[in-house]
Amino acid sequence: MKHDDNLAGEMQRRGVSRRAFLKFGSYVASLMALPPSAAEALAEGLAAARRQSVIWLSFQECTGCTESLTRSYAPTLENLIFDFISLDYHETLMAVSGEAAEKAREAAMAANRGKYIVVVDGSVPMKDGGVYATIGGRTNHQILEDTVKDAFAVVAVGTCAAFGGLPRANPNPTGAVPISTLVGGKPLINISGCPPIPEAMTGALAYVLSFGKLPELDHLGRPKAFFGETIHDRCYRRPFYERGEFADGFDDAGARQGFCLYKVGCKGPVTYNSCATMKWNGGVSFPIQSGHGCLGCSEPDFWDQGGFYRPLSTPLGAMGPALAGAALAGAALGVGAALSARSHQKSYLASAEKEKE
Amino acid sequence: MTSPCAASEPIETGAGFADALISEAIALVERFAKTGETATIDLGGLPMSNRDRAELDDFLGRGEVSANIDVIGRTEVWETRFSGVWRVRHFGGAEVATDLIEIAACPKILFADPRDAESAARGMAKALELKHGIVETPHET
Ligand code: SF4
Ligand code: SF4
Repeated sequence: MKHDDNLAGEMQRRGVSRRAFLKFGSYVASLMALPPSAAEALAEGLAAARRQSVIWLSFQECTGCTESLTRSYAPTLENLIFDFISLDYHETLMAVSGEAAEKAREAAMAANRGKYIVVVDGSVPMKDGGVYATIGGRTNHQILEDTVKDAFAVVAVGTCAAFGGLPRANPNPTGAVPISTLVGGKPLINISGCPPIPEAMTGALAYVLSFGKLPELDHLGRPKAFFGETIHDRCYRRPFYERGEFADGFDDAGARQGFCLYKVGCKGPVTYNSCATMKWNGGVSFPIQSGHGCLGCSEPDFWDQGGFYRPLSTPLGAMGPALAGAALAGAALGVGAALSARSHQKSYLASAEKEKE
Repeated sequence: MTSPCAASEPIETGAGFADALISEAIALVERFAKTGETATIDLGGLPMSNRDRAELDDFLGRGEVSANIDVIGRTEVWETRFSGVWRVRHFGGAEVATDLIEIAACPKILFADPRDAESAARGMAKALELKHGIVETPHET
């Protein structure tokens, strides 16, 4: 493959016309809720772009993010992004290992100085000199600093990279920190979620490739197109919430009728993500549609919010002030319900514990 | 852990979206007829129920033209029973990835791009040379 050619040239040699770019542009514009006219601009931008060098670093993580991104539901269309990037380093996906792998990373950095994108999944342990995660004798922190210094932009994929995630959960034994605290002033996109929605990753990368700049981000560095609304804003159970019709447990009459899951711990009102509209597994369902509340996995410190099955408004102490405010504003009807739900919660948790024994 | 809570289907009542979209399309077709300005309505981000979609499909129907495009998966294009009002449905695998109403003489995706045609001209010339080359190569028996 000739690396000096643009993407249109590369595709043309494989017998694929510019219709592919128009189709992909329509898809991304639709994903990102851009005006349909943006489809053509995206298509033209992508067609004229060169293959984007991407270096993917994995730190304290579970590989769930990579699993999510490589198992997209629209393989022909969504995987096209892998034709538009050159994944020059990814420990899980690359064939080489050891020194040869490190050489590949160094070669990609040298060849694309100032132009490559660093994607990171996982948080970085800083305690005790970072000894809790090392690769080839170097700490995650050293590898990150070294790789990011000549990058064009950084994409932190998954809640561990974006906000610290599970490794940073109380008591944070390794001193884990999010990527944003270690990359200085480099342009950064956070695609949070545990795991993140693959379309959010595809959309953000395609946008950067087409327009050469970052998409519009929220105050936590997440693309507004995917994180601009809460799960609650677009939840199909919302009419039940508005009417004050709540499931009190996972096996009661309300649950069977599809009532709102607020009282059984749904964090939808304070969680910004696209699950309610994009859904998972090819649009089949999302957690709330399967009968379980949202865990709030795309928000900072979601492991430490006082329990996945506790109603939102009760343990506000653990939340940041902005989240707490949102919870109160968004849950006017739910607050009273939440208080009365505590007793149901306790009995549900107690019976669940008993079942385990 | 499997939740004993019954999974529930999203509510399937029509939200009146079909009528609102049809009114929007009428205004856009009127503008197209007067000025030639094209427009696209993306059905993707709209909170339409399956019933809304079925209602819209029934109303728009199918007209004289339909085409299948085979590019990074399937794309179906058809003119509705209303001239100048097209449906463009892109698939990624078996799933609908993008669902559009286009108001135009012809949806853009059906046109051949002149830059593709430029390389097609070169490709055709090469293919012709090759054809002659193959024809003129004597058979080795
Ligand atoms: S609280 Fe949860 S289940 Fe209820 S409407 Fe909001 S997001 Fe949906
Ligand atoms: S529904 Fe909530 S917990 Fe589940 S994936 Fe979406 S944001 Fe995360």
